[in-house]
Amino acid sequence: MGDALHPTVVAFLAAAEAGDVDRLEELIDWPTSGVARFVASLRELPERRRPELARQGLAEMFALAAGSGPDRPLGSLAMRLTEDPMAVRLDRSGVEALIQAARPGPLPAAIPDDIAQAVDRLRRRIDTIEEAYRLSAGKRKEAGLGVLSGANHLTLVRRFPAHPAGRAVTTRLSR
Amino acid sequence: MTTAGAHAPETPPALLRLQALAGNRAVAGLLAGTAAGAGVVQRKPPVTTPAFPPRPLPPAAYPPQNRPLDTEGNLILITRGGRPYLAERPASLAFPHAAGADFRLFPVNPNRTYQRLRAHCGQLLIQQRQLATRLKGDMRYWFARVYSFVTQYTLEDVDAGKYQYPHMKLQQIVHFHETYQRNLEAWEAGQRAKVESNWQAAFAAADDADSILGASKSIGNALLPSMEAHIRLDLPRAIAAAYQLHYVDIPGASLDAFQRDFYAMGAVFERSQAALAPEIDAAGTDLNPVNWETLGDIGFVFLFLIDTERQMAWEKATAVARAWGVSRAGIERALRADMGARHPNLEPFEVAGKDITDYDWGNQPGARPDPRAPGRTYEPAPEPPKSGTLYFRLDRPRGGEALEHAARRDQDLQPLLALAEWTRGVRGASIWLLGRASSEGTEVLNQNLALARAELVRFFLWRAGADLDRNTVRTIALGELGAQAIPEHRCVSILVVDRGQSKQQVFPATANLPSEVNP
Repeated sequence: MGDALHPTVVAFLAAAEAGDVDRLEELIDWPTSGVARFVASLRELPERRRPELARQGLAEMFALAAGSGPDRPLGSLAMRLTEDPMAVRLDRSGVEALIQAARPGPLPAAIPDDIAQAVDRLRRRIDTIEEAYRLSAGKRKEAGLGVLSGANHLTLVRRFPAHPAGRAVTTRLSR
Repeated sequence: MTTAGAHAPETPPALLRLQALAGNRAVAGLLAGTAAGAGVVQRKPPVTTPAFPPRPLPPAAYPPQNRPLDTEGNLILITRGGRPYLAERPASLAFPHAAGADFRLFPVNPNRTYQRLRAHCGQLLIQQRQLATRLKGDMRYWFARVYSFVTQYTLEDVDAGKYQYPHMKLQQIVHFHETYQRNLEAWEAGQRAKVESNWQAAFAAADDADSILGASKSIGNALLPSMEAHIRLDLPRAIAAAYQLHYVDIPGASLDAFQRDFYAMGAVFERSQAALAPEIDAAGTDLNPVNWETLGDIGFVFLFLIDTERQMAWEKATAVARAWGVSRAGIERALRADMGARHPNLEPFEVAGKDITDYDWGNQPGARPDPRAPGRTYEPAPEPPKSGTLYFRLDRPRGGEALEHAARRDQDLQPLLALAEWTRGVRGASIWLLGRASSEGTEVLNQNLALARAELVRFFLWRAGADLDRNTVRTIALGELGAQAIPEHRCVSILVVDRGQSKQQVFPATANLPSEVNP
């Protein structure tokens, strides 16, 4: 792994600068980007409500992946990214930190088996993240991006914490 | 018993004998010189002290016999929380509304409430336009402007009868206005700590909105965070608050009833967008170098994520309403769990890229609970029987003497029975029995005698079944105070000093208006 930027990240930055929101959203791997919050939220729900909302949330993540989910899931982030977007590649500890942030915790009780299996598959997929980037717009650190092995999609971790071990191995990646 | 102040000379023994035989009226007639030639004089049966035990007391109150109404004449019911609501479909619904509404979700006095709310919201729209004018040149202008359009078009839809529940829609307008107004005033006054965190983020973003990409991008930077603050946080809270304040405990009520109206508002945002877009384009003609569209148009793709954002706003309102009443942290936790599970990839609490974690979901600024329904009241007390003075014989009563023996023989005790009966129908009445004695004898004896006379009247009232539990009968011994040695001072004066209230309860007509228009 050298300093060369991953082509998917280049495509993401290009779409951001161009204000091409459709392309930006197309490049995101929505299920791996949402599963950590999905599982954390299920844990906070009363047990009786978990099966229904679990099914709804999982369906939405995969619908977004298929391009048929809610409109504009990136929301205002896409607009902010149009202004001076930057990606900084992180070292191995940064990759570990991003995997940690994206990885779902243990599932609570009362989750149907098929949903539990889907979450397991996503967990294993997140473990294959090979490269991690910190995404900025102007002076703002906006998110983390993970490059999944063998895929041309990115795992988006919003509010990716500033990880001291996540040393930048490049400065600005220009396309 | 004669009326107070009447001359009552001691009666000669001959007349007393006549009285015993023929009755008071005969004696009175004889004294007045009218009995002669009047034929046979019938004596009324003498009144004696009623036997022990006295009649059982009636209840403390009688339930209302009328039906509770509002001031428009609609039959109402009252929730356990004291909220009045319509029990029947009102005969007159003189305000525009869409078909299919559940009449119970109209407020009581629905027509007057509509008029007051509609007039109030019209005033708020004027204020919003004035605010936008004042803010021109400031980046906060753009939200103030679009917000006034939203209010304007909502009111136009209300007037057109587009909503099933126009009152609820108008109530939300009041709450939005209050929230924005308070936050903006605090921000402009430099009282940042009083500004809610969603508006802190939005106002700060407006201050820092300038973009190298041009004017319309700058406008977008200022406008979008305010729209987020409004739609993502204020809107769901206002819906939940209006529901909780006015509707929640009405039997059969559900927030779902208002969902149709919520989605019917979609066109309002589209019209607001259309109204504002020319101003944005006029402010900056910068074009996106990639697709040569104006950035103003592109910006609006983000500004009005109508379907997604509005659906989430409704879901949040539902979750907040469900969690209402728990702690602030409890509502936040429940809401985030709900939204996070439904929409793991979305950011429903973000304003200007900041996750708003300390929003006070359960506390709508300026919101006040509705006035409670007026409780049952008591009807006015009926006219008491004529009060008067009962005259006693010299040095009476003695020992355990009954009133009919202690009182002068020309005294009629019938009015005392009527007074006792009157007390059975009232509560809180106050009756004074002023005992007096003539000046014969010692002062001490006369004081005791005066008290004994008053107490004897009280005893008679009790035996006659007077309600002494719910009314006050006070015996006052005036003794020989100001008295002379004449029969007029051997007496008990009976004064009803306070009529109290009737025991009959009544439902007063409720004039309630919702808190938004209740001064």
